[in-house]
Amino acid sequence: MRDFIDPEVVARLSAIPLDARLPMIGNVSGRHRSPTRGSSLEFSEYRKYVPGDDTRRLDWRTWGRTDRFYIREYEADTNLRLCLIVDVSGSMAYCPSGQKTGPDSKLDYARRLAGTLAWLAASQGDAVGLFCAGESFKREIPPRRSSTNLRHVLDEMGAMRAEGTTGLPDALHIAAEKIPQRALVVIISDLMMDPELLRSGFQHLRFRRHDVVVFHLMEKNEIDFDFDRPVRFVDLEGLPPMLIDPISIAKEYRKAVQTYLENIKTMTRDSAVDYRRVGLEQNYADVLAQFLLARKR
Amino acid sequence: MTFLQPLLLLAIPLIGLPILIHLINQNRHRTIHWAATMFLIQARKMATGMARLRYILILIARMLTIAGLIFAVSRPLSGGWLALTAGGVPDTTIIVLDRSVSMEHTDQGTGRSRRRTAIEKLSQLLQESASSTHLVLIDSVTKKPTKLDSASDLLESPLVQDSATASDIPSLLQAAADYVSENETGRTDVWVCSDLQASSWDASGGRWEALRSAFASRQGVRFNLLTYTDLPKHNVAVSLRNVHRRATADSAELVMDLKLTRTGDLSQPFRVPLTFVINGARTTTELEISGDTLQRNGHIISVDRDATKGWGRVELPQDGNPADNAFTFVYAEPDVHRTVIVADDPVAAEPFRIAAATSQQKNQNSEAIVLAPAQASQILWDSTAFIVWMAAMPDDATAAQLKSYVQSGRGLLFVPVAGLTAGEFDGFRWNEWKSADENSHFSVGQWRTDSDLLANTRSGSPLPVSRLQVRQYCPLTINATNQNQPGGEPGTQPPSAGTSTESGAGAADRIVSVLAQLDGGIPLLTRMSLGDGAYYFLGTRPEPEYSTMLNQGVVFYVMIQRAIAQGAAILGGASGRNCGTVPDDLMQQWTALDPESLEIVPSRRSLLPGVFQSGARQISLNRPLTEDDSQVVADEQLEQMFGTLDFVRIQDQSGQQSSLASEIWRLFLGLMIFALLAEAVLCLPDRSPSLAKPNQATSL
Repeated sequence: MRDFIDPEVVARLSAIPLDARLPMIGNVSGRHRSPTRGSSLEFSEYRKYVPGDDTRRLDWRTWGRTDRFYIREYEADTNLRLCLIVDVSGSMAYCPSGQKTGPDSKLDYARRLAGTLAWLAASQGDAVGLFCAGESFKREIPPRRSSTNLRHVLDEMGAMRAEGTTGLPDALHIAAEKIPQRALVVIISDLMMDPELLRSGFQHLRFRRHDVVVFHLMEKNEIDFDFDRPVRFVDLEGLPPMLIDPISIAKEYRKAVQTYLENIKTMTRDSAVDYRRVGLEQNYADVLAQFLLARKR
Repeated sequence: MTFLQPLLLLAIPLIGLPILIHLINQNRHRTIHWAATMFLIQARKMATGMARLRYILILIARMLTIAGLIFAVSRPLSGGWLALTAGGVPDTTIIVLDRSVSMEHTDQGTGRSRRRTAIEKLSQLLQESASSTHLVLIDSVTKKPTKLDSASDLLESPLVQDSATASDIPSLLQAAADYVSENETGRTDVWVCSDLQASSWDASGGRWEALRSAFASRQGVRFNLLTYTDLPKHNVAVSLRNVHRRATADSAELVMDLKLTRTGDLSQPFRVPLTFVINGARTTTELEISGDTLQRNGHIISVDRDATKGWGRVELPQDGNPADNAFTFVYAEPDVHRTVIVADDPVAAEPFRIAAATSQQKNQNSEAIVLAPAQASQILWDSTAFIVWMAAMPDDATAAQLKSYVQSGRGLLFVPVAGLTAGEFDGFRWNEWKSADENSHFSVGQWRTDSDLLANTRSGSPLPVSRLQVRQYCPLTINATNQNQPGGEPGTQPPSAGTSTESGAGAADRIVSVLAQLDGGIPLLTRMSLGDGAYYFLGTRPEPEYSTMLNQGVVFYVMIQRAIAQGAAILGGASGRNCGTVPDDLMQQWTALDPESLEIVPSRRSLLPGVFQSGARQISLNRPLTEDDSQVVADEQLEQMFGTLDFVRIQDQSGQQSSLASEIWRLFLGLMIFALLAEAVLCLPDRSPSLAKPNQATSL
């Protein structure tokens, strides 16, 4: 266990399976549906026998009734590939306290979310991979089922540092190309960019038949802009500082945020992405529980 | 604007407190490392104009709040004339009050005259705003500064009561200037309460320049003109002139020139009932007046043939000005206007004799006799109206008789004689004659046009004094017991024309005035008041070798006739005088002839119209006829009169109830509350619901 994974939370959440909304293609059998037919106990359909089919799968009872050969097919259960894409741009270093560094930054929150999800997925035998999206694709660990890989992923999570500008749109395209088979792609970011820049990345992932989930991290002050004294805002991604009287622009700020959130919501709905806005003040265990329950079959 | 607590205005710099706090806040910002910079950039783009304006409005509202509070606690005073005055309570407040007849125009609704309205408002204003100031009243009757203990005394003072006199605003302002100069007053407010009547203000007179100079040399003198120029809706004034008795074959009649003057609506003819009261008998007649004036010369009223003397009055119904609705008169057999010329040289005295013996009016008997100085004892002191002394200065006995004669109210003119400059009279002595260069002459530079022997005519035209040319003049000096020398002595500065100086012991009764002076300030005609009369010194002679007085005979003749008329007015059996021109103590000895005059308290007899008797002499007192003139000073003239002096004009109306000043702290308190509300509205936070609530918030 790493310090960003709480055993109690894992214990609470392990009772809820991590399911994908779409059929997955895995290497081994597992608890997730597969687009192919397999040997599970769950009946799927009948089909006509064609030469070459395994005769052991003929349904003799049906042959007896109809004098025709039918093959009895069953659902294939396979494992899940969980690909975690974590935004490590400078903006993810934001802390509610306004300090440059702190224990409650967005990246810390993302680390807890991603780490817990990785542990849960590995616990149910699924493969786990990690992609760190900074200015460029900084680090990528392909999804594997091994415990060594999990350890590798968790180590990498612990070492993540938020810095530089964001390169998430490009990272999504790269991830879509690099993840070879259907996977559950979980994106954890504050999405501080024009929503339209993300649209093509999400659509690319969906085109690859990935089940895409976005955890959008935002802090309450970033939305409500509840300040009453002049503030010098220092941009975490390197833009020049701004001395602003918050009262004078609060209304316009909120209006801009509202427009942005509506655009994000519309864009993710259009792209069939499971969008979840998360406030840093929320307990991440609750967020994950909500997420897992919503997906439970 | 005046403040009752002006010290609190020292807090005015606190108005800048919001700006200071704003600047401090700007420097006390905190630093936040921020992720959502993209929203800040968008918000700043959207909020550039409105947000800045809103912030400026908030700052202004906060400043107004503080300003309103400061001004409210400073207890500002104002009325219909906001920002009337500035700078707090003056050290001295001089009230120049016009008590003339025209100030008695009365508002029909409230019954308050212009004078009363002005006094009440001024009293209220001073009680509220300037209770600590030194109050000085200069009224148009006494023309003397009178200190008042408090503003409330204004309402009670007999010096603000009505009178039927005329006013001379320049002389009142001169008195104010003298008071300011003598008492070294600090910041001084001069309130002039007047109706701006043109005859009272004498806009074309030469005294305004001297007044401007006098006030301009004083710092902190400010004028507030409380003016009442609204014309009454309806007013008719009546006046009489040349009232005299004429005997006919079997009866007698009074002949008079009657004049009605109307102001207000002149579009329609108006029938006026005139009531004549003659020796107690009343008759009423109606006259129709169309236009603004009705002049009826030679109006005749029959009287008892045996009544060789008597009194009367003409009355009008009540209208806009009750003070011009009556005019009194007395009549008697015409007196002889007797003049005595005391001269060594009868030939030299001849011009004076002719001028004195030639009466202005047909029915007036005038006579002039020439006596040698040794015959001075033959002068009929009790019946002589005027004496011309053109000989050596009189001896002590004669001088004493002459002084007594002058003190009774009659005139005495000294004319210098070549070679006879020895001796003195009452401290005055002639010096050696001085001549102008050959082919040159002295011209008259200034002379008094407002009163006395060289005053303007009744129509306002000046006498042609400036055309006089003087070739020789005789300087006049005062001996050591007198403080001022009219001129002539080296190293002394003679007073200029139009100015008066008190001289020597008993100065209250001895006032030297230079009535005319030659170029260079050399006195030509000097007046020395003594008792009720005055004696004059003419600095030259009328003959051609001395001056052009005979060639320009108008000035000479008018001067002599006016001096005779002054004396005759004292001596005549029946005389008409203007109110205010007869000494109070003299009037108190007289008895009233009619019931109306009887109601007048003795101390005010000289100020109100009436008919009186003392022995065989009768006198009628009336308002000066210049008071019937409704012409007022134009704004441009007013600007010219005051020139660069600091003055504010406040136009008021008689009977108007609004006060000159009232406490207006409520106004500023209201302003403060309004500014507070505006600031609160501008600072209201955005009421849109919080967007921070995540779209899914279910928990385990």
